[in-house]
Amino acid sequence: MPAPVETPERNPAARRQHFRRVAIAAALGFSAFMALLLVVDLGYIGEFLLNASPDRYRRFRENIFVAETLHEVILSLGSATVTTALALLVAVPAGYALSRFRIRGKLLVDTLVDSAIVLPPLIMGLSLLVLLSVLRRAGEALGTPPDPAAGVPGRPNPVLNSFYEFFVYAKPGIVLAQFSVATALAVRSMKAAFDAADRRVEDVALTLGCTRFGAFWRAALPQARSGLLTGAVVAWSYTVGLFAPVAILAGTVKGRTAVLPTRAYMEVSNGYLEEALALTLVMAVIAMTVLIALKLLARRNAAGAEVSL
Amino acid sequence: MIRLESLRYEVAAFSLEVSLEIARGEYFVLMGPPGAGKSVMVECLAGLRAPSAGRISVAGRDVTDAEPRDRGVGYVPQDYALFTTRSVRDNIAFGPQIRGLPSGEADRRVREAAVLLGIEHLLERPRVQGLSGGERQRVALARALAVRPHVLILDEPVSALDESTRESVCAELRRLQRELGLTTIHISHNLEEAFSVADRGAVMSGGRIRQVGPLGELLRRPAGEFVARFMRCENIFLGACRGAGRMPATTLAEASGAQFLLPGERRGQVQFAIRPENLIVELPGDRRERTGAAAVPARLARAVDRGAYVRLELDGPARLVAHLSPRAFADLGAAEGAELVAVIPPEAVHVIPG
Amino acid sequence: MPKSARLSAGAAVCAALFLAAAGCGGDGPPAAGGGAKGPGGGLSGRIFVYCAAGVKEPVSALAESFKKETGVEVELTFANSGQLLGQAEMTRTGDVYIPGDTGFIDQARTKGLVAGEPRDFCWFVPTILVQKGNPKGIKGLGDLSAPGMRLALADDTAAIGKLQTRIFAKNALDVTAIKKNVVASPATVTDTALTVKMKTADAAIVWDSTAAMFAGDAGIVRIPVEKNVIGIVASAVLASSRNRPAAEAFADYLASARGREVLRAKGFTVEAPK
Repeated sequence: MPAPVETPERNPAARRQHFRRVAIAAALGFSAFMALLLVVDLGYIGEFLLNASPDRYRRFRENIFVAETLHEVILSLGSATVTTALALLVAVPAGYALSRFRIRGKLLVDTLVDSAIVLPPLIMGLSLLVLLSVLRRAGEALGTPPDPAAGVPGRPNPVLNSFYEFFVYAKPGIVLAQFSVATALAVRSMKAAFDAADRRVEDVALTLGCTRFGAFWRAALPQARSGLLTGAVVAWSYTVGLFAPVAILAGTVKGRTAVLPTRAYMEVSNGYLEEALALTLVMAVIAMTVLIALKLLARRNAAGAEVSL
Repeated sequence: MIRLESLRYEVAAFSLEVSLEIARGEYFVLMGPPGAGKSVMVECLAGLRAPSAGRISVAGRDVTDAEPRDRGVGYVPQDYALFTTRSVRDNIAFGPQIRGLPSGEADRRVREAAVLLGIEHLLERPRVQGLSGGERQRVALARALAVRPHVLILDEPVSALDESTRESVCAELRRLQRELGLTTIHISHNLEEAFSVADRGAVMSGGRIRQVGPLGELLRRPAGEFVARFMRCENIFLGACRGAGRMPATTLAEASGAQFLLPGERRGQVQFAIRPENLIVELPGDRRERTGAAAVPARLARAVDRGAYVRLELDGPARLVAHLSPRAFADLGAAEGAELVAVIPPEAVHVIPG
Repeated sequence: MPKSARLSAGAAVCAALFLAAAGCGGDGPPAAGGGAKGPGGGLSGRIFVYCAAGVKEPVSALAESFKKETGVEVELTFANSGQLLGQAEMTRTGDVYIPGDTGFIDQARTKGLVAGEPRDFCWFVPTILVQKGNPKGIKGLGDLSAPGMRLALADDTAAIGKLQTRIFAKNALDVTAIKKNVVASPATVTDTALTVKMKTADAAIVWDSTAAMFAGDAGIVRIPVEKNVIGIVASAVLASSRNRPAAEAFADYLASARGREVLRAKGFTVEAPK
């Protein structure tokens, strides 16, 4: 039998180092991969700009350096932010309920929430469109019928019809489409956060004088703060790049419901890859800036506590 | 002070069904194996679980349907459940503030509780992270006491602490309870811990209270086999009465092929328990005349020195466990494998009521 | 500033930006056109147009000039022709449908979505793009199967890809030999043209309008009409239109002399090739 040799594999400290390197390599590797994608995009555009014919360059300029692009950027960021706020408004109590309360048919409820993530985004958008159309048809059926004798046209039920008018091919439709998907993601992360939070803390708060809501607000929510931030980051980042359901429900009307991702898609479908990539880069830079700001804010608030993003 | 009347609570296959009374100022210990329902019972008392039937009253007031905050119950859970996002001061001030006490009064309460527990020096800590187990427990206690509860519930208060500090913490809890005259329920599955703090207690299992009483009574007069075993009475036999013993008011009984003398006049099947510390162990040659006691031949299978006593495992017609003082064991001078005699006077035998 | 205040301030700024964006679009239900005839007997209101992504360029240009001339706001929503048909069917909203291929208009008609006759206004003519100066001396479709020819043919999913297959069939060309020559199958017609410009391919089949874009960098070999299969872009006024006069006017405008002028300026074919 050979004598034991002191190889790195046998040395626990060295082995730990070894694993540490592998783990860090995985993290760096993937982020480097993303960086590579962005750099290659940038290089592609750079090369294009250097070689583009004057006409082609003019088209690029007229489609990128215009007010619409700014409008789309603002609409993308704004709608994602509004959506994230609305999603959290629902996800915080919903995640809490799924984590804490006994609910009849919880498995089904939980799975229905997940279905919003599982369904292809395009199908989510289509389903919303179907729902709103059904509402409108119901509104027509329940409204006043037309009176041909007096020449008075029929009037749909104003309440049912208003949903349709409010959302379809309009800005609120952007938020509705984003909300349907983002909320499911936010619920997931809020539930995980409340699952990880010690419910005894709420029990103690109750005995100390809190109402049920007070215990949720003052004991559960502060503990789930990291989940709140994770939920916000996940919902926001997913939303800001969401394209298919927005396009089908809100349309891609320039200057009105076109957001950055829908415009980028339009450019790709027309073969203008350079414009699409330029818009994508604009989007990536802005989104990363927002995310970094959010994470720095979270880090400062954490002040040694357990928040990590 | 506390009355639980036919309290029922069900969850999945588990059901709790208890009645219990605890007097004002009593230090009551609730014992039982894990899963016995101890925590569930105090959670019902604290209003954290809604019982399906029965009544709960605290300080003469029916609180069965009261909110947890209106019960006058202070609660310190096992892991202390401190508010991890608040400072030590804010943890303690949480109750007074939430109850809307004027800030001067709230400050006074915080200081008072901190002084009582000797943690004034911790008040300015911005976070509870980094406190030791003992410090965390004190903060949790101060937090519960700051709202001046009628009843204090301590769920396994020392099980998270290391062995060496448990005893001093238990003494501290006892002192605190005496000082405040606070009715206290302390959950424990550890006998030493229970005896070091409490006057009275109960043993639970399977959602039922098996026996309530002064701890000495639980120890020496267990009401059933379960309590006897929980109280570490290892010599439990099921025997058949064979008629009156030679002494008056004794009964001769046979169990596991050995003869025992039981107190009182009995017949039929009996179950009885003998505490290991009540066995007398002798060498066969030494044997003095003891007409009033049973003598069971026994071979020393194993002797384990536990410091305070030596635990002897005896083989023979009946398997017996005896606790001898180290000195008595040394005097006996027996090695493992030695033939001995276990002498059991009738007053050492507790007949389990059945 | 406490953290919660900072967070809510951030949220408020974002919300304000969003509202600003919402404000500067003149939002409201689409096609709520209202009065078709404005003051002075002209057209007014707005129309909502489903436009295939592939014809975004010419239609966008025409929508702008139409607005200038009539004051009618034209809202164009772009997607692929199939999705647009689904949207029109589902919502029963919208005024004009412009798919990339007339086949979709036939589909819409069988679903009862179309009012009146569709109007052809633009012809997508497949053309052979060759390298500048035509170094390989390509004269027509027959040369594409010549050994050693490097071809770029758009993927079948692109509209041009579908038509080129029909062209090969119509002319009974040796598809196996042509496939052997293919060195690239880009997903879009623009990328296909690009390969010739970059000289990685000797020839490609592209739209005449695409070829026009590359006129400076490449040569064009036309395919005779009788051998060609031509893509027709037509517009159809939808039965759901609530601003029918404006919708009709826009469909007419696309096919009008003025519309043709705009399209021709952009390199599109505006008369049925003879």
